[in-house]
Formats: sequence, structure tokens, C-alpha cells
Amino acid sequence: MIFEEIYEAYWGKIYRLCMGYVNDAEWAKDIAQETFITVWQQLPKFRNESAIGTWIFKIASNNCLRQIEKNNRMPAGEIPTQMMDKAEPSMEENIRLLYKYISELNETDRIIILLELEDIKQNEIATIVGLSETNIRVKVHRIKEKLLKKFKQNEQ
Amino acid sequence: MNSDIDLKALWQQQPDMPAPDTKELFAKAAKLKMKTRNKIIITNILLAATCAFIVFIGEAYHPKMITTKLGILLMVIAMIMYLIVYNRLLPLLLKNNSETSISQYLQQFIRIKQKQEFLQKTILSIYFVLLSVGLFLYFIEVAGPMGTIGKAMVYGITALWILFNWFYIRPRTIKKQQAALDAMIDRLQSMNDQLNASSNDTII
Repeated sequence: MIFEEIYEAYWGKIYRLCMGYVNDAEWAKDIAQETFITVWQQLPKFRNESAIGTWIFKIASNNCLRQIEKNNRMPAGEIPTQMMDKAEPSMEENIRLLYKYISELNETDRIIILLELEDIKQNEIATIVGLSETNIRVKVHRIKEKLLKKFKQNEQ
Repeated sequence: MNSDIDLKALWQQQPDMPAPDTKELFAKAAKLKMKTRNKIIITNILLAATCAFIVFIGEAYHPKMITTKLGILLMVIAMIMYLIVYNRLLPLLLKNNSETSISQYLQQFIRIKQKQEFLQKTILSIYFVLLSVGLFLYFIEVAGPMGTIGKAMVYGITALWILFNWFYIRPRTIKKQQAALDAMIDRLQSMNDQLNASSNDTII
């Protein structure tokens, strides 16, 4: 597969995943770019083309987790609420809220729900995360409940 | 808004962000490569300069005794080892593979950080031992022609300096390095625990 095609096809999804994880447009772009640099470097060695999506999402998810090494930037979960909204201003209110609520989840829950929202099959999420499919199903269900509860609380 | 909101549909509603030009990506890759190369160049210059400086000092005194030469050699070895381990070996040994699953990645990450903690501690101790022994050997010739008081002063001051390094500078440096690493290991561990958390936790 040609890198440019992969890049075009996956940029949007990967950027959204990173954006959901850090809730900061600039930072998300950095992580997405680092992910594609790895993809570009490792692509010649990659053989299993049917699983290319899983492979790219794995790299991106791990890159997100690695952000704890960057001490000068705090993961979204630790940023005071008033500073947190660095998302695109044109975003619709509900999507903004969704980003905010996701950023309040713990790190691994954030990754799991973002993969689910990207419509990745749960067996693939299980491969990316390294847990059983049943475990993922339970976790997705619980995280969704948490998020919906926050939406509900916001309505009141 | 209704609480039966479909999160997936809401998420998918977002307009797709167009991918920035690949030129930008390749420029960034090149910049990263350059940064690594510059770091290697700087390390090598620093290494060469350190060695040249120590050899120059050694030569300026025209050492005759083997102990002096050995002392200088040990100090050079200490500094070279320190520089090489920190700038070359450590990053290589601590390379993380991002193509594994998250749970493997986190465990690998934790192991790497623990290894780094151990290495830093060990290397720093070896560094101070080599440096101290080297300095001690070096002073044998320098203090040779001095009287008893002179010798006592040279060895006294050297011993004080060595003790100060070993009991104050070394633990302080280790503590500082460990504190940052410990904090990171704790957070990684808590991420790992999040993954393994049992599914009957209460929902917050």
C-alpha cells in the first residue's frame, strides 16, 4: 500500500483520536504527525495489509499514552476546566461537550471509547488494547454510561 | 437534549479534518532526524573535548609515575562512560515499540522506566568510584615531593571532596532522577491498573 493513500484515508480518524485524548488541537496534530512518521518509517516492514487500520490505531494509541513523558504539557484530565477548551471554536455544542467529558475520563478509558466512537469493531479494539473482547464490551458499555450520565447532568 | 443520545452518531457528525500536506509531515520527520543527529554530534564533541582537556592537564605535569597515568586514565574512562551511557546507550536500550497492544506497551514502558532507574543509579555510582580512585591515584605523584603536612592536606582535601560527592552529591542526584521516574512509573502503573480493573467497580 502506498503511504500517501494511507495518510489520506486515516488522517481524519487518527487526528480525531488524538484530539479526543488531549483535547488540544495543536498537541493533537503533533501526536497525529508523529504517528504517521512512524507509519511511514515502518511501512516497508509491514506485511499484514488486511490489518493496517488496527496497526495504525495501535501506534496512535500508544503515542497518546506516551504523552506522559512530555512534562511541560499536562494530559487533558489534569488541566483546570476553564483552560481545557482549546478545541476548534466552530465545533457544535454537543460535540464540544463530548470532547470535554471524554477528557475527564482516565487515560485508557479515553482510548477505548475513542476507538469505539471511530466505529472500530470490538474485536479489533480488543487487539489494540490487549484485553479480551468481553472485557472491552463491558468497558465500552460502562464508559458510555458515564458519558451519558454527564450529558444528563448537564441538561438539569 | 435527550439522554438517549447516540454518542457514536454524534462523534461521526464531525466534519473530516483534511490531512495537511505530506510535505509538512516529511519536513517534520526531517527535523526530528536532524535533532537526533545534532545531539550525537554535540555528544561527540563534548567527549573529545573532555578527553583532550584531561590528557592536556596530565601532559602539562609530565607525569612519571604509573599511578598518575592510571589515575588520568580512570577519570577519562569515567567521563566517557557517563557520556556514552547517557547519550547513546540509554536511548537505544530504552527504545519502546509502539506497534504492540496498549497493555503490552504499558508493561514494556514500566519495565523500561525501572531499568532506567536502575541504570542511572548504577552508572552514577560507578562514575563516582572511578573518578574518586582516579583522583586519588593522580595525587600520589603530585603529593610525592611534599612534606607530611602537605601530603596530609592534599589527601585530606581529596578525601573530603570524595566523601562530599559520595554522601551528598550522589544521593541528591539519584534522588532527583528517581523522583521524576518514580512519578512516571506510578502513573504508568495506574494506567495499567485501569486496564485490569475488575468490571464490577461502581460507576462514578
